[in-house]
Amino acid sequence: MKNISLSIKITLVFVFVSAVTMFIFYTVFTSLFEKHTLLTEKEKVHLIAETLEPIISMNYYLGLAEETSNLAQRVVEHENVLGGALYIDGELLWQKKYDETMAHFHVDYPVRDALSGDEIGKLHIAYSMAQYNSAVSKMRFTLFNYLGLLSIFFLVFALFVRYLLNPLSVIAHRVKEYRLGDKLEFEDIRMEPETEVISEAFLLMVDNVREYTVLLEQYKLSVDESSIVSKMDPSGTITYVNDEYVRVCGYEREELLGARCDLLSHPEIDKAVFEEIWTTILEKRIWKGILKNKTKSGSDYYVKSTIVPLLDESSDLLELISIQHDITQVYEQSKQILKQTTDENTGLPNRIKLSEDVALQSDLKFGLFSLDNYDVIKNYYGYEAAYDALKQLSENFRRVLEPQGVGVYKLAGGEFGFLAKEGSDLVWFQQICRFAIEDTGNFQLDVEGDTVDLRASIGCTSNKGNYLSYSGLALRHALDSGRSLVYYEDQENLIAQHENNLLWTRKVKSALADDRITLFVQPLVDSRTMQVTKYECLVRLIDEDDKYISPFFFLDVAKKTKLYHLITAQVIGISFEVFSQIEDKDFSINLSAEDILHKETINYLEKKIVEYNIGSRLILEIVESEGIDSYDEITAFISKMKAFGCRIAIDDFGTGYSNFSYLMELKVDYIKIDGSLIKNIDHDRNSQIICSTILNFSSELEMRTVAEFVHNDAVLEYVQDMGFDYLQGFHLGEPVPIRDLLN
Amino acid sequence: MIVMKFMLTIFLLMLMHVNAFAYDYDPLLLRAQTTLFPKIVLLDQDVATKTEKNSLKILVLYADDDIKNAELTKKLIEDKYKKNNRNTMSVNLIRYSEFKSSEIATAYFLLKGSDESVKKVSSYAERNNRITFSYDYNDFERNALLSVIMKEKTYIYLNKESFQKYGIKFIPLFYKIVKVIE
Repeated sequence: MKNISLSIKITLVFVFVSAVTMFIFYTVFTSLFEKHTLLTEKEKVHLIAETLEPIISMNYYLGLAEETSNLAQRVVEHENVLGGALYIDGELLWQKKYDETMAHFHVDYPVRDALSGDEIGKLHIAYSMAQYNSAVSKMRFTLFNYLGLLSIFFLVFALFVRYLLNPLSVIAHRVKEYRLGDKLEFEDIRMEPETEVISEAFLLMVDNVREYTVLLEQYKLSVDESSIVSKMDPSGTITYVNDEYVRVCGYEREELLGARCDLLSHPEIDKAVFEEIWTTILEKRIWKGILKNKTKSGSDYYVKSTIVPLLDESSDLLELISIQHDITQVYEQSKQILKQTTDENTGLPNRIKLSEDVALQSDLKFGLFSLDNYDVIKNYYGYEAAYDALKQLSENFRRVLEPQGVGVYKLAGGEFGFLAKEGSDLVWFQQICRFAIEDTGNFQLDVEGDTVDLRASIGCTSNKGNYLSYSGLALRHALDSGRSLVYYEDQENLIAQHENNLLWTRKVKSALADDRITLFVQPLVDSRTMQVTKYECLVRLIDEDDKYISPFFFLDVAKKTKLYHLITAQVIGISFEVFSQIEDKDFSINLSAEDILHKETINYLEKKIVEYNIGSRLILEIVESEGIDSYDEITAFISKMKAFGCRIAIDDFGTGYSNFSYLMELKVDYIKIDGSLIKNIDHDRNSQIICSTILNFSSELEMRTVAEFVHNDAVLEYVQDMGFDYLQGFHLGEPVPIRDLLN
Repeated sequence: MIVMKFMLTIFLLMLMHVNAFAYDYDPLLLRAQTTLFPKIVLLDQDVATKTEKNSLKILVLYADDDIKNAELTKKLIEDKYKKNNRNTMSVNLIRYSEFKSSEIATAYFLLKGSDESVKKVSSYAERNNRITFSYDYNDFERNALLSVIMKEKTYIYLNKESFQKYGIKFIPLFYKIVKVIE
């Protein structure tokens, strides 16, 4: 059926439809004609009977039998009436027999009484079908002739259609046989308006095809000249390679054609990559990626590869085309760039990469993470341990933060940068930062068998222009204020605080220069005798207005500068000089971790102890919360000071991380219970329990206990009853200038 | 003298004839009319409603001195259409002068009579939708319905004006054979 031309199909369809139409028309028409002709014939007979019946009836009524018979006889005078009979009152009045073999039909018409109308008989008429048959024959003959003429007309019409469609057939054959480069002409073909449009459309299409083919050839040339091109059949066998392909891989074209497509694949490439490529292609999708290949000589090269599955009209895989670009040089450069922008230890992007990424963002959320005790780890466990801590932390951040869309960068020292993805919510980012701090707090670093807890702080900012400065300020503020997370939002406040720090730094410097650092002493009373037996030295700064300034305002600022150790030296110098003149009183000075770890300070202390020979009266108060990170150094320091006869007190006990075993190791002589546990001890059950426990413990270890912050009689009475050895507080004696003791 | 006698005899005979028959009738015409009249009556589509005990009743009306023609008319009808088990037609004679409104019949055969008498019967027949058949077609001027004349052929005449008044419906065939007189 496919090979039959359109014109023949149209002709055949036309003939078929015409034949069916004519058959239906003939059948229906003849059927209707026969039916109606027969009906007409019967109506004729009825008309005859209807005409005669009243007369017959009348004559019969009037007893005119002969006239009745004569009248009936007139029925057969009709040329088509073959015969008949008249029955009235059961009596046959008239009859004419006929040849029943002749084609006929008969009608029995009732004869009614002339007066009553009652049926009294019937008039039987046999009517010949000759006229009917003649009419039907004539009709059939006429119809047959008519349909015959119509068939001839249809045939002529079909031939005419074929004649009209013939140019289309010629055009189709010429287009089918057209080959690129041939000349396609339709000028010799008889043209109708429609065929002219079709031929013009074909000519335009051929022109377009020619134009696109030229373009395609040029594209192909461009691709061949600029890319490494190969084609493969669906099984992965190479069927085509361009010159560039041959040049890059070093194989001969003959070696490549028919070879498997993985001929050039580098052995290092994971099998999963090939599985991914084939899965993608078999799903009829384009695969893109970078592949590492090896040349025939064995050298490596990288290609950026695009593998396109070419499909046929049924969407079945026809072949594969691979277009590759040699990116070996770019790849190596990228690796170098990556190296430059990556922290070698952690593998995280470094500050350079951070700057690049920040530059791409319009809405910045940045957090500067600082491992607070990074220096301690580095100093006490060495660089390897510190690097290991950073590496473990970085792996943890990658695992936890990067899935949340937070970029992690390794910055200087123990610092990391957290960069939220564009458009992140600030509150969410701060929660992420808090989580990072908590997670770090839960992180325990195992170094040489020791477990080291990590502490961290984060300064955040949304300021893109000065993100490092502002996050640094926020971080500094966090460290100063003891908060783990500070968001740089109150710029003025931070700046004011920064300026405040500068102011106090200047004041401390000035005070040191003008010898305006002095000491106050607060008495410690023996709880049994209520006699002052010791004094605690407290540093004060005398400002330019001769007012005494509490260390609360300047000591933290001083700690951030080198001035702090100078203050400590002043404390040592003044206290030793004064108490060397007061023989029966012990005294204590406070030392921080910074002091103990500061070699010059310790050397100065040792020198002064020896100089004043005052070690047996000196009590060194170490703040509990500061010593934990420098345990070994503290222990060594204590041992050294005990050799000088000094005693050791743990200050503010109950606020830090100390435990009793720690105290046992340090071999301290006094425990000064923090004022927060004493101030409500007369009515706070928790304070009572804690202090009672500490007292029992210290009693067992033969350590003396000091109750600070005794500020009223109730507290005094309670702590005396509990059994504290010494008492200190405003109720027992306010701090006074040290020089007053000499008076 | 003989001629005189013959002429006298003819005159007397003529005079006697006038005395014996007050009206002249064409015997041939009368025979034709009496033959056709019952048939015409039976061509009335509603004749069954106008019978008496399912029998045709025909009244022949005649003038006072026209009994013989009346009897002749009756005789001609009865001779033509003899009674049988189906045909129980009765033919009665009645003078115009004795005609009463109670004299209802299937149809009326009007012999010659005065204008008034013919009019009277015709009017009565008209009111009762009965056929009036007049010997003299001039009676059409006196509301008679039907008559038969003989020229080269025999014609049945129908008085159109009266027909519209009488309200009688004949079978269709009748209208094909009748001549309608305006």
